[in-house]
Amino acid sequence: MKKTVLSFLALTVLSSGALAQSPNERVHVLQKRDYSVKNKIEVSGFFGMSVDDIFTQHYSGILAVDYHIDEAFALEFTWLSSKIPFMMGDKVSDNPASYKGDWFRMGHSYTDAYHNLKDDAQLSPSNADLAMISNYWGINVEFSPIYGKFSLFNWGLARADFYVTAGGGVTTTEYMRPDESWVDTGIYFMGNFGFGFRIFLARWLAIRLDMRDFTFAAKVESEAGATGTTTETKIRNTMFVMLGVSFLFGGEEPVEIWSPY
Amino acid sequence: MPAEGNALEGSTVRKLIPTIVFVAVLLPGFHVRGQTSGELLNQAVEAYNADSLAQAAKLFYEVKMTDPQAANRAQAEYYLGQSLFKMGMYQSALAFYNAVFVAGPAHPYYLKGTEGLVRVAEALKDDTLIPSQINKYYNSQEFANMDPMVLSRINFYVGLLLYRQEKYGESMAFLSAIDAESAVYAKGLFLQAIIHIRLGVRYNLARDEARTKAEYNKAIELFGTILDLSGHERVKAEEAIDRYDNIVRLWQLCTLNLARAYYGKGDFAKAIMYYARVPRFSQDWADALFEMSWAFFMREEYGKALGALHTLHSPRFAKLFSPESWILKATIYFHVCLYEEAKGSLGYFSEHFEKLLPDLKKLLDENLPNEQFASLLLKDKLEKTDPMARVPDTIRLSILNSPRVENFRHFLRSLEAEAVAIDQVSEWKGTRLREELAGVVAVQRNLLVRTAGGFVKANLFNRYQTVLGFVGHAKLVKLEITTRERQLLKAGLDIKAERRGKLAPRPDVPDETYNYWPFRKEYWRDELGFYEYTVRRACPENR
Repeated sequence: MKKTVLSFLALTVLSSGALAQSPNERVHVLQKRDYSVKNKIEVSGFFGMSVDDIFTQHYSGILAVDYHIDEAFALEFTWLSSKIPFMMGDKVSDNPASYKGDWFRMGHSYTDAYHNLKDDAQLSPSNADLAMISNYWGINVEFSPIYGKFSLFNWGLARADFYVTAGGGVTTTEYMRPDESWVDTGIYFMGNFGFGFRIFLARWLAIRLDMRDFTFAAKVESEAGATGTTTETKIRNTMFVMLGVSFLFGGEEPVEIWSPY
Repeated sequence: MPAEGNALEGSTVRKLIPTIVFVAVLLPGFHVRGQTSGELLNQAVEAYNADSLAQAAKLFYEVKMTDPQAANRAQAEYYLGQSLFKMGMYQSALAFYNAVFVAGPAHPYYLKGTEGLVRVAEALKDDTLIPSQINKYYNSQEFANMDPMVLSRINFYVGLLLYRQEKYGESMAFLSAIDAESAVYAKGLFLQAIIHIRLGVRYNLARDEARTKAEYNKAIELFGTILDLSGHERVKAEEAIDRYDNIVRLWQLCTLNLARAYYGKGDFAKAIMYYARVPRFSQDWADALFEMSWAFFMREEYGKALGALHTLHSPRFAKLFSPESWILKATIYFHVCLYEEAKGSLGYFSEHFEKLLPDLKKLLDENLPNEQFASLLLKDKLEKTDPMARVPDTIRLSILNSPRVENFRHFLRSLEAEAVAIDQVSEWKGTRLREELAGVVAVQRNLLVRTAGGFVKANLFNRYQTVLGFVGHAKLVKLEITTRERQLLKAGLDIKAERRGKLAPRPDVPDETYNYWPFRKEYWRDELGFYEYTVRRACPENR
């Protein structure tokens, strides 16, 4: 992709050329990448939040470690956490799967829509719709086919990589019962896909913005009926927006090529 | 005694104290304004030791002018220079160091005076006048007793002077005598390499291929030696940076000159490799781009040659004096049968360079004194009435970009500051010393202005001749184009290139470490230096 154009950004660094270009020639730019990522390790910290759920709201910290196989492909390990892992709280005596305790579930909350439904209409969404991601560990493959650059009022240049990413891993999910105890639904496979971009501020520093769709099968207790409690499974999609900062290490250090070092 | 940086000198002066006292005891009859000559000298030395340099200078001057004892006068002369040097009055110090130096080995401070001259040359960045003086009175027998580091610096300066006078053999003799431990060792090697290149060019013109290559090979070896001073690793390179004068700049220049040496040998691929290593946006980059386009042209890589010129002709280098680059561009277009484009380049040359000739000629024919030429170089702002205001910007900037200009300016600023300082020393009010020093500075300033003016005049003349020479080249290319166009018509081919062939495909991206962007008449700073052209295959043989 040729320079990413954002309409409010002034693009040209220099004014147009001395001579009009002839129809008998084309000028190309074969530019050595200034921000090469090949063989680099990228450690990123993100803040993420879910944006599309009606009843649930996640606030998550995300740690990602990418290994850039080349300029286009990277493998990424991701740990997303809305809750301190493996901490469940106090068991509820009448239900061995339920726990009480909140402070370590700092990233889990329910929306006003849920509270309104529950308090005003005395209704509750299905438990599957209330399940929330507690922790996720997974591997993604990242592909960056698009690169771009832009300039803000000629103050400088920023370079960006645009990527798509897909992968999977394991997750733990939980939901809150009407009695405000939490139920651990166990460990599941969770897939995700998404896209994003990183803007390089320096060869070792970048800002990243990701959009990820996490898909998991929420297995929860259904409402108690005539035949007792059954298990209900529902495919849930949770969209996350993640904003983070990355530090890049290793790879080939650019050397001033005249330098005899 | 004198708190010198030089321990040797301090001890010498310490030994002199008893001598001074001895002279004073033996010759009580000599009085200078009511004091014995020895007393006055002692007072001067005490003031010098107490860092009362203005007072010391005044007293040394009195001794120098009035003392009947030659030994006292000689000592006072040297220490007068020292006092002034310490006060930062380099030109004034130079006058007295020079007197010591010119007096020759009979002067007890001969070698020290010579060292003083070298220190002043360093302080004033004078690589012309003082070296010329040292060369005039060079005394190899006496200089052999000098500190080898100082002698090396002298040898470098004299070598540089002789190089500028194109006395390459003599210059080499001085340069090769530089001590390997000296701070100017790398500079000396570099100058030797440049001399080999100059000789290579000479032999090449004489079509002596064997000697041409031999000279270029010697140059390449010497450039390699300079690069090897870095040890090719950071720690050793940092040691080299501490040890040798200006070595980082020399490493950069070695890269450019290695490219030139390989070009001279006809190894264009290696030349291009080194040209490409010249850092983008560095002071050598424009030269590297231009010369690299020649190397690509010689390899018939016309797209890359035009690409290098595209950077050179970008707004980044809008005021670059580069008439030859437009002739080269026209020549490349001519080779790929794009005659309209070739004419366009010649038109640009005519509009921006040939047009300057009448004004330049008029200016040069006016027989202005050198002092008037100097204002181009020494004044930051030129008044409209100043004849130098008529010098076109491109030419003025090309002269101002010379590294010697900074030396001239530094020298002038230093002289002006010195004149003010002399005027402000209260101890010297109404003294002969003040008058003499003010005179020395004024004379030197006038000489500098004349020299700078001569430099400007010679450069203006050189630019005039350069453009005039390329006007002739442009005419030849035009003539060839007309002939080729006639041949096209005779062969029944369309005169318009658009109808004679297809555009070549875009170049391949070398590998994933490169980004490809099409150029759409926007010059992005980060893209400069990465252009490549593809052109229509318009030559009849390509159809």
